[in-house]
Amino acid sequence: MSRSQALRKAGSWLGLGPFLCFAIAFMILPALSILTGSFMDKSGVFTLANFAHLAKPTILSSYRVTIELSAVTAAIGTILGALVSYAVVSGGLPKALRSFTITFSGVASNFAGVPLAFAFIATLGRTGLVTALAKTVFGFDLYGSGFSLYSFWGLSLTYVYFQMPLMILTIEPAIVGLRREWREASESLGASSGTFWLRVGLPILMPSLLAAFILLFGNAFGAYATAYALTGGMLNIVPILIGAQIRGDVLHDPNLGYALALGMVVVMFVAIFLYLRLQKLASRWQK
Amino acid sequence: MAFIELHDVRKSFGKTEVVKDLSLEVKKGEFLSFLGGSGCGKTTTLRMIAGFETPTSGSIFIDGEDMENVSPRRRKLGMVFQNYALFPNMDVSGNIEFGLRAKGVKGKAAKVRVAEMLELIGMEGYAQRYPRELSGGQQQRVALARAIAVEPEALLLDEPLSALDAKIRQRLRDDIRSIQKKLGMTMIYVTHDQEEALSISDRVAVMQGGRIEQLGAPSEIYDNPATAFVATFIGSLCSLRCEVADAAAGLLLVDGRILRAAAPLDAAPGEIYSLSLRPESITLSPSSAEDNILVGEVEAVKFLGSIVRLVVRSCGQAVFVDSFNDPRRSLPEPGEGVKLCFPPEACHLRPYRPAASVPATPEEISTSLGVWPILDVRG
Amino acid sequence: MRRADRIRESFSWLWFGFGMLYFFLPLVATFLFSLKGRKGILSFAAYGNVLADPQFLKTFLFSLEMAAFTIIVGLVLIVPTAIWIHLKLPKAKGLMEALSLMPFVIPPIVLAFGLIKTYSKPPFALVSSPALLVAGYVVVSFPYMYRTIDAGLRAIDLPLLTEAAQSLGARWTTVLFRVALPGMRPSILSAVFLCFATVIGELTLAVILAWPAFGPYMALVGRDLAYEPAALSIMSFALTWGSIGLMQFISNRSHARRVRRPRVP
Repeated sequence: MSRSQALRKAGSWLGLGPFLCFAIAFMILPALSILTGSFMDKSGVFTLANFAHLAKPTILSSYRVTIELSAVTAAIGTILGALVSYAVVSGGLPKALRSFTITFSGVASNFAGVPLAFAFIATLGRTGLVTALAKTVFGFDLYGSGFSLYSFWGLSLTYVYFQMPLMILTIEPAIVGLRREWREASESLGASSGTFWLRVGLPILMPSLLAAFILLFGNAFGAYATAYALTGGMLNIVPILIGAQIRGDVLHDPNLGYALALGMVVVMFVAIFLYLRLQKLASRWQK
Repeated sequence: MAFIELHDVRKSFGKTEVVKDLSLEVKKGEFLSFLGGSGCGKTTTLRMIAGFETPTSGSIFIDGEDMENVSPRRRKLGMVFQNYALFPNMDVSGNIEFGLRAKGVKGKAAKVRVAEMLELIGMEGYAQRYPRELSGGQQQRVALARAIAVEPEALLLDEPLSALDAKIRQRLRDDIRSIQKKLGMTMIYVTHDQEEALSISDRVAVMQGGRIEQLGAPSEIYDNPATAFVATFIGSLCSLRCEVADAAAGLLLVDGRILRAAAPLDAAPGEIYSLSLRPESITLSPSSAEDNILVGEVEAVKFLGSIVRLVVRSCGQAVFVDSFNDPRRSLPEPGEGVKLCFPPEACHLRPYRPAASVPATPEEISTSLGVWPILDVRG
Repeated sequence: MRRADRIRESFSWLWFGFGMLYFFLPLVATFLFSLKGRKGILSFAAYGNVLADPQFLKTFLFSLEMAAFTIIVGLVLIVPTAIWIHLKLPKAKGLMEALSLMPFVIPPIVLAFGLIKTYSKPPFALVSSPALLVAGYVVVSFPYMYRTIDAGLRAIDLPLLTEAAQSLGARWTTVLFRVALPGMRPSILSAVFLCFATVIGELTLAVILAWPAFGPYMALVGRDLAYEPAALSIMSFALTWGSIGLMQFISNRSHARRVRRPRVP
């Protein structure tokens, strides 16, 4: 390459300069500082002790709960979202419903955090609408039978409110890509609807479904605001735990916090990696 | 013996009537094509036979059985789609096996049948390949094999070759025809390509606006178009306006010359008629004493590959003259005067009714025949 | 209609209905709850209380201000970069895609943590400056903003238009101001509304970095009062819905590609 060509090439990368500076300053550096911080103790000396602390029962249990929460809400969100998405895209419903659902999902998937928590308190809290309805109309005492909005399942139901629309949005292209002709070919070859789904439909959708599941998992894993608003920072999940380290609560140990944060980043990284791989696989079949 | 019958079938989507009053009988073992442009209702009709659409009114019988409320699954009709519709998550043998497994044929029996099919389509050795590794033509062959594997009563093909290159299309259509003949299978074929339809079908149904304009053998459709649409859709046709000089003797007056028709005309003297000629029936020198002769001037010489087309202006119209490309012969130049010679049998005559629009280009002129009533000039 | 189609359609209505129930029941419940401000009757008292609260206005204006800064900084960073990439550096698309995934890998809670650690000591002691909050907000909204603007650029096929313009003799300023930016207007507007909706409701960064933003205010209200949080929730939802609605309206009007709003990639 000639000198002027090389200069020009370097010059075009320079155009990215401002943005890259910003990205480095406010994304990469903070991330790196977490990484380094997790390997240091309070006085700045290299140590692996923080990771040893991660093995403490309370910490492990918090990871377990977070993983359970993420997996459960991702699974529910995946199944419900896929069904709703299929219903509006290929289910024979009026076309207007499809665009309405997509638009609404766009809003609902972001209706998280504080407003969502309040909405569910108003719905399923002790004096919530559904709780009251259950008692007056069905004679069923929700809280009496052990349910609480401020528990694992209560939080899960709340999470599903933004998981399901995210699923609807994410899986829609895959469902659109499920060609009508495949179904018709299967029918003309004498296969039942069940056979079609078992041997053609679900296998084709599986990479996208898995990818979306993993996306939803990551989404729930990193969520802080909703849990914070609903449980006031009381539920023992990893994001809350990290928040507690920063905010100087009882367990105030920033270095532990860094280790926790690093653990979270690793989980998210694996999630996004698997997601991208599965999406690539899915697109191969959509040819 | 009619194998598939359609009686007064109509189909509307909302307010649009896509298929109007269609009646048809398909014989067992015949190769029938639906030919027409987009929107003429041919694919909808095929899908109704398959069972993927329900007629708004009318009935469809297959092998004497009324197909109302019979799902596509139970109709025992194979279907081949324009975009192949191979299942991407299975390899070739998995695709071909699919229908067999659905019927309960498994294991050794299935494998044998798959091998048979692969041999039929000439793709032995491709069993483990996946659809994405195959070319379009190969995928369509597999789709064909998949549909045939379950021994359907008839095969429905929806523009199966439209997505392929010209050369592959030709090869594949001949292969489809030879497979059909070999198996004696009834095939209903939908296409917009007239060459395709004419070359491989036993009968062709030319469709337009939801109706069958003409149903007959390819040669019949070509030589005796029943309506203006069929005449213009199939091949090219040039028309000249002429006057009836002597109806009983079948004589017409054009451009000061007398032309002879093959049969007497049912017309009044002086009535204006439309004389249409296929480009390939015109020669530049008379081949017999009976030939009609007109004169004209060469406007253009078009080289179309195996055919050379002269555009000749005669009687105020543009006339196409097609001849085989023969390098030994010299062609007339633009501006040269030529003779147009054609036998009386080549004359297609209809009473003339003016078209709505004023033609501008030679092509438009030659295709604006006016409105033709459905008559058979040969009586 | 075929029986199989009829069955499928019934199931579709079932699931659609269920989905709508799940979405709307909490909203309806919240709305009804918010009307219970005064004992015994339905009234908008709770809304009145909220609006009368001086903290409401203070925090809302603060968040509004932060949103404005975020939008400006975000656009100034992203729009030229996106144009640059489309015109001169298509190879960097992969890099940008990777970078736009980072805010997912580094969730807001972790980002907040990292920002504090990195910027709490001189010479970059930004922790006490709202600039850090704005920077955090830009990072959080960057994926959506970038995707929207990138989609808008792809829709107008900027390289093609630029070539056409240049072959007609236009200078790069003309190309920028009369070809690129006008074509990007719907996507830029979409990005603005997306960013606005994100920042107004944001909680994590604001709480951790300890700023009096609207999100933390809502959380505080929720701790002490009963019906006012519901009112706030409805107002917040209406605001988001309104922003998205405006966004859709604008993008529909200009026939630009409809931009969906995924939370993550």
